[in-house]
Amino acid sequence: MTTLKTLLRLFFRQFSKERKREFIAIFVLVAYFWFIEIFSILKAGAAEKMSPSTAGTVLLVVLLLDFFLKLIQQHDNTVMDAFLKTRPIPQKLWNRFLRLSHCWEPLNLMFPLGLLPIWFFTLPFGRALLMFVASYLFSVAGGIVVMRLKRRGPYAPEKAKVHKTHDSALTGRVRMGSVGLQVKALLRSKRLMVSGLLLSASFYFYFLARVADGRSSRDAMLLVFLCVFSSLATQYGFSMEARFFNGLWTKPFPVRRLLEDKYAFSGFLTVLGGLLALPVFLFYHIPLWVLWSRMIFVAGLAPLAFLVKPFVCVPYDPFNPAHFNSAGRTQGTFNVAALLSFILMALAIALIHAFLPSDTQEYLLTGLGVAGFLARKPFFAWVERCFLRERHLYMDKYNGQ
Amino acid sequence: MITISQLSKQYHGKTVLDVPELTLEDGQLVGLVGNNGAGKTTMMRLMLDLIRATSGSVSIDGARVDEDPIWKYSTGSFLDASFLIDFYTPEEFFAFIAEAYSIAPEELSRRLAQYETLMSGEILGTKKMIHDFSNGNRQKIGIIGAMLVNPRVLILDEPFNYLDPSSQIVVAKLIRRMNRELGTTVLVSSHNLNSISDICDRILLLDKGRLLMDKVHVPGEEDAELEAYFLDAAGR
Repeated sequence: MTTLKTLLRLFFRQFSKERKREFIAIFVLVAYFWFIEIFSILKAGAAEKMSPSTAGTVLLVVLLLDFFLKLIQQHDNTVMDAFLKTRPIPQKLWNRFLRLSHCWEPLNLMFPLGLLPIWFFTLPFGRALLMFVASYLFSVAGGIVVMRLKRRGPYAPEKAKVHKTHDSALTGRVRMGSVGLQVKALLRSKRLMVSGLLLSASFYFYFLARVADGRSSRDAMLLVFLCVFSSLATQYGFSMEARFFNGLWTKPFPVRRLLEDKYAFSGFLTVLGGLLALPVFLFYHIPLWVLWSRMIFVAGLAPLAFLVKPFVCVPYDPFNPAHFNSAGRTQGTFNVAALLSFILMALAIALIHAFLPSDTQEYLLTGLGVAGFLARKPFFAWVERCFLRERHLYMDKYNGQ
Repeated sequence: MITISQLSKQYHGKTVLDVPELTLEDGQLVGLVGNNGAGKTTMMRLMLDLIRATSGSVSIDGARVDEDPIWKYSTGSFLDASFLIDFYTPEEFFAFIAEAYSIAPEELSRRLAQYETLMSGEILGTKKMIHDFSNGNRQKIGIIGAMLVNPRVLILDEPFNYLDPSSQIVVAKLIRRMNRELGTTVLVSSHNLNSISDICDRILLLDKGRLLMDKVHVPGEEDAELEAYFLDAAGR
């Protein structure tokens, strides 16, 4: 008879072997939160100044954010893998295991750990500890609630689930080559699409709120909004393609073309994002040059940053819901190399924003975008050469060897 | 022509394939048989440059596959599900292949019509993603995708797996026809000795990575020596 101990052993073995990158990615993000928080707290001189009601409000907002993030990101992991389903495992035991496994889920650890500096720098020790424990318990509870909400029926895995395609006008028009591959990969992965839309919407409204508040329209929020889809299109694209890379490799389909088409698709998405931001600029009489320069920058240079190490990825399977199937989980969080490139780029933008006068910023961003556009071909040739040198290592990883 | 020279592949120090010399002449229809772990798929993956050889090389029409990608223009292949873009519909997948090989849309329709018997009305026009098809139909889509380009070299790994008996016969006929009409060099592997015996004019037997037999064969005839090998292996 399978015991809880056996299931947990399986869980931790999988963690140590296959989900290490996911943990590392979460800790990189937590470290980034800490850096920003400590820097902001020290700069504002706000140490030990938070009132209990403010602390409660912060906790509530973060927990809501945490819950909504899980609603989007957490996939249904209640489905037993075939190798478990075919063995005598009582449903009660499986449910206990599922609840317990939430105590170590990276998504449940991210916010409680990320908030630690805020509590410990702004509250007395005892209260800070209480806030940490409360945030952790609420996050785990939120994870379990989302799990129950997303849970499928007991016979769901056996049902023949048909994903009908919904060819929009957009997909109908694109050619069937690599750009078509990019568009369909994004449109037909519901999780990817919904994540992208929600992230974009939240950054869009944050940008809108800041502009309405009378703050500078030149801050990084517009750039982050413009970057979201570009980042998804470039990073996740290769994770989807890694699953059928054998098929691509054996056809006369240059690797460089995959890169160039991702760049083109990312540029198309940036233009769409720019058009969405345009009404805000017109309504608040912000010079359009501010928008154009940022669009040129994001379309021209950002995809190059995201495509520095595109082939380092984990194959992403948008269809497989089984619990121990970790394919795509790491990538479901993010590509560490691309995240670091993104952070470096954000830092560069922050420096430009902090030290350069407005007009110079626009000239510089436009110049960098154009330079990125001009450099793309030699850049992709270099990335392709790097890939070709190590292609068998990459392909072994895609094939799970 | 496919030429193998001093080809070996090791995993963690264990040799899984060791073929000193082998040549598949133009227009031959070659069957590759052997039990599990014999090295059939490894040999095909090396031929398609999907894995790095520990030593030696594979050349197609004189060009080493790991050095010159020219072979991709004249080679059709299907080894497993990783050759399928599963979030595409079959029509999109075939159109993708057609674009990669510069096949015009009208020509694509004409070529697809040749596979209507195999598709038996279950593949085109369903608006389903490849992911949602049965294993058998996915297998058919992969085989058609490989043959659609009218290749000079065709490499198929276990093409009869998952197929119902009627579809197995259709696939065997299609392979044979392509070999006869276009002069395509075909390498096809199978666990099923009968399927191979029915269509191949040369049979290679791999055993634990080594080429144990290389025989000229008359399609349709049984091969007592090969049958004896498998019976003997079953009793070992």
